[in-house]
Amino acid sequence: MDCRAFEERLDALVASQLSHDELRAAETHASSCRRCRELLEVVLGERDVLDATTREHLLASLLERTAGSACGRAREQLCAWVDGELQSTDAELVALHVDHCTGCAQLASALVALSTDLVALAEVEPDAKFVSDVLSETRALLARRVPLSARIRATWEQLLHRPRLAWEFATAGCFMLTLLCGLPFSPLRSMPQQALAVIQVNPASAIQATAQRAQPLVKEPLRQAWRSTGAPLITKSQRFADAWESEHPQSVAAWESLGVRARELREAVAGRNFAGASFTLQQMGGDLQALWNGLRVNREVEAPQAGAATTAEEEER
Amino acid sequence: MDLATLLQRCRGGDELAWEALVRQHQSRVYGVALHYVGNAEDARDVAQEIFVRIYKKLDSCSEASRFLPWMLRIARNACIDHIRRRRARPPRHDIPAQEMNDLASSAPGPEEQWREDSRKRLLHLAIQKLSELNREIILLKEIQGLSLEEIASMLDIPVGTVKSRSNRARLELARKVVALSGARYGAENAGS
Repeated sequence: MDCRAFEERLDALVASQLSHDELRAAETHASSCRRCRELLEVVLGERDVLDATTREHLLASLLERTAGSACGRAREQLCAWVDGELQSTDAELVALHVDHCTGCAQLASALVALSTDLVALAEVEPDAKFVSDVLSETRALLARRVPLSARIRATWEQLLHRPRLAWEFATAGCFMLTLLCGLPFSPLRSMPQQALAVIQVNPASAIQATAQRAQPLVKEPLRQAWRSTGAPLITKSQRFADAWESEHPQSVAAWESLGVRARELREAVAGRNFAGASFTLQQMGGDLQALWNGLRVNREVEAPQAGAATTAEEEER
Repeated sequence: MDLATLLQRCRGGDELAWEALVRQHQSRVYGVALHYVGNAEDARDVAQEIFVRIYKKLDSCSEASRFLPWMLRIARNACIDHIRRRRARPPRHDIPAQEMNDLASSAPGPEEQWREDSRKRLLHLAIQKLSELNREIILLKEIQGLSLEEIASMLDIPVGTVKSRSNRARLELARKVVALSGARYGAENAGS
């Protein structure tokens, strides 16, 4: 068998369709002819005549002339392939492509790295002052969320627990004393020297003298205050009681008694009879209770009348 | 203390609970602000603003399980407001895009720390180069780990769009990263 006959029977040889004699002749020729032997190895896939680069170029040019580059399709599925969401056949095809395509392999590696690296970007530590700045920004808002009573209680507790509280009271007291006694225009500027002089002579009479000296300073302003507010108030209340007498006859007695008690109270206070003032106040409480009861009785009497009138109006409608 | 209790105490005006909540979420909020705004100084201001908004709206977050998406929605809105204001009144000087000094890592050795910081800076730079929608999807899905439904609700787009966009955004980010690193990024990772 010559080379030409060998080549003509090559397809039948690969397909194992040669007769026994033809097969032996072909094998004899292949063993003696190097070119035909290499050709047989190439056809059987036992010999690769292309290097990797040439093979890739050949494949690329071939795909370009036929179906086009497979990278586009591969990259469509690359994320799903990295996530393991592709079906086995598709995954196998993408893996095969990635094995031979440098660009897609780089992208696939980057995608794998991104899936872990991106998570690490979720939290970034700000500087140490950040929390305190946020809290100072929201402090004013925080107060609105706390009820008023709780805020007052917290402020009071905070004030009480301050270590400087005693110092602050002492400072305020000194300031007041300086205002009252220590300045050239102070009302009691001569009192310390006099008090000191009296105390040195007779401590008991010193207190009495100080009280007598302070009396006009306290008594006259109180009297003026009473003239400007207390007396007009009583006059007004008496007028009001007169007007009220016609409307609420049951409360008049209680009201008159209250007026009497008020006068008694005023006299008791003016005469410094505090025990009597306290007793009068208790009596005034009783009068107020009686007044209130009278008002309630009046209302209860008026309410059914008003209700009846409304019902009558409704019936008319 | 679990988040539900923390939220309930914050609503009642508990200062300690609020401080704990801020400490718990400050890194995440600051991270979001940094990725939206792009520089540390503005991100700090925006993060503060985000927390103030969160505090004002605490009553509107009823479920603890919905707190994270709710917080990220507030963060996103605050960042967008800030970006709009900045566009209307641009800064006098250009802010460097690589200003990521606060992306501190917890790597043990200095060399590893340097490498990790470099990777983070590279990633941040690549994210800044993405389109606006892709950047948001990467931020919300890949970085903050929100579900597709939550992102769709937040961005007001269909879930399918989010899903397809998500893959495209990841691929685009991978391309940017490979381009910026000269193909070292994926190779380093494959090696490690």
